Amino acid sequence: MRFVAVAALLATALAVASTAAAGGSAKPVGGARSLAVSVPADPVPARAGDVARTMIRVVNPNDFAVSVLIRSRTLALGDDGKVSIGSGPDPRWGGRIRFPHAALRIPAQSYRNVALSIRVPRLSPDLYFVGFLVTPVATTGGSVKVINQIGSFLTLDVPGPRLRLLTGHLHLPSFVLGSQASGEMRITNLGHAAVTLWGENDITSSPGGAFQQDRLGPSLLPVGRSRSIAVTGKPRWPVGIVTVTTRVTYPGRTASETRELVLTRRVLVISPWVPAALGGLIALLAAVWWWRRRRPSGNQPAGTLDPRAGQTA
Amino acid sequence: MNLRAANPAGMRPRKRLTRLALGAAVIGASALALTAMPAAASTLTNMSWTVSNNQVSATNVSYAYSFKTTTAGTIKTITFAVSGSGLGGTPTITRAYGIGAGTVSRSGQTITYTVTTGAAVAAGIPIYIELGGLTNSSTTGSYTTTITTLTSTPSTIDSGTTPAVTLAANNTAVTVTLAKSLTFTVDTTAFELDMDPSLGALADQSATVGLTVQTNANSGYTLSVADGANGLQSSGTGNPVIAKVSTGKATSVAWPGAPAWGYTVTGTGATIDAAFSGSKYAGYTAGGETIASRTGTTGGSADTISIANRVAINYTSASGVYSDTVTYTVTPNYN
Repeated sequence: MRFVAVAALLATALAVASTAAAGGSAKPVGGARSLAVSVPADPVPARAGDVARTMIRVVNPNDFAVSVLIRSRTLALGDDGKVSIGSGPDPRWGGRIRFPHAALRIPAQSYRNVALSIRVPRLSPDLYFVGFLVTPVATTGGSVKVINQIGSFLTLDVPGPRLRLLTGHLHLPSFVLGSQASGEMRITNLGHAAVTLWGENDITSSPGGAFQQDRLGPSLLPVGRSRSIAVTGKPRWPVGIVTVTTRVTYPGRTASETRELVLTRRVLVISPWVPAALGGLIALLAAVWWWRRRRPSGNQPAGTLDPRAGQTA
Repeated sequence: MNLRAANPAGMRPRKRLTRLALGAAVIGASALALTAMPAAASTLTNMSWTVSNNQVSATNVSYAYSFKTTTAGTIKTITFAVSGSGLGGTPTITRAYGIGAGTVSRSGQTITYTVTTGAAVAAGIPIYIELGGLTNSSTTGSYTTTITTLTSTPSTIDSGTTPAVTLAANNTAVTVTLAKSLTFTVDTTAFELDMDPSLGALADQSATVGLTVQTNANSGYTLSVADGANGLQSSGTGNPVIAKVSTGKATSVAWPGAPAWGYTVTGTGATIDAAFSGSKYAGYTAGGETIASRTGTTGGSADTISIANRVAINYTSASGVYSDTVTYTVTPNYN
């Protein structure tokens, strides 16, 4: 009996000790949870006054079923492609798009295609963004719950002629002590419709005449938003004038015409090695000159007269 | 003899005139030859032509042309003369590189790209023009396109014929649609901290939540975080709360000690907000704040973001069970 009591005490002590040791770390209550949301890559054609039909997909990659809620949300489009999801439904699409009201149960390793019908209001030709939020139903238990939700959006394209206008600035220094000129091009949409732009950075350097064409793929710029694009140009030689010509092209009123924004800057680029080498050379020349000045006159060949001595004599 | 001796001065102007006339003729001929250079136009190089759909009669097809200029010149128009017959549709400009903005039109088999403001294009410049909205001929066969660059006169600068494209009726058109997708994983959906103010190790604890994000969105994504409006609150008498370490990421601080509730962020792949550099902690906000982002696709490797949630208490903290809900929201950026 005494042995049993001692063993019980020891076990209790060990348990307390192990609890104390683990006390510094958190206890995860729920396991991992993945969720994926897919939307059409291209804008959905949507004629004003018609019903546009599309689909979103909610994927459950987990080994267990997940229930999700899909709700309309406002969207805030920022500069450089940034998107943030609001906390409430988007009034523009209220009553015009119906997301599933109840929670959707998605079996393990499966997905649900959610068909959506959108009654398109009378809108001017442009791209429109319909935001929504997919939220997994919270796991019960645990004092701090963690929710991983995905905000996303559908893009609707209301066809027709548009008023597009871009403006831009090319920020590049006129002189660079380095190996290349680096800056950015900032483009802002001042028009009345979203713009899909593309472009190129044409870089030439003199001397050398090397030509480089860096192509910029299509990117979207909503009304009033800006986008920055990095620009770099490298001279062919350690010293050179780099001419950067940035050409941004975008559709005009219709897709059969384009407009462009051309920005050019010339930058004098000097490699840091050049002043260093020049300084070294000057120092070397100065050292030689100094050494020659300090050289004793006795170095002159024997028998020759010092002209200064001759003059003073 | 005397006459010969006396006349040279009188003969010289005539000789001079003859020489001048000959010189002028040579210069004129050279100038004419130079002016006529475009007539003896060079051949465009690196020519290619691809179609997005090679089924006969297919509509809304994209034709993509690429070539390199051989002769420097001021290009005003570029014509694309497609061989055969039956080309249709109203072309649109999907993309154009190496050439200025312009308009596009079609007349019969010829598509004309007219540069709005003709600009000098040097030799050796790669040009790529992708046109959409075209309809393929209804006749099967092999087709080529003769591309010609012209001045405003118009006179030919360069010209060339692309390799052939076959339009067929008995092939299978394959269309693969890739959705814009984003996967978001959290390694723990809830955690508990069993805390006790009597021992340092129990009075200051952390719980790390691991997030992974993977997307094919070209402009990347934005990750934000928010917590419940009441924060880390007990349901006990008076609903006490554990104070947030700061009012948000803008006022992030080095860990100040108890009592406090906050988080810090580290990660790979994503750009973590500078507010968390130097292991600084911030308090959650109910409205949410962006903590990490990425400006391009993640590719095959998911971004990993670690959120270290930290709570410190002392004897001023009322005993009880405190709870909160932390919500992480990932949104793909627009491209």
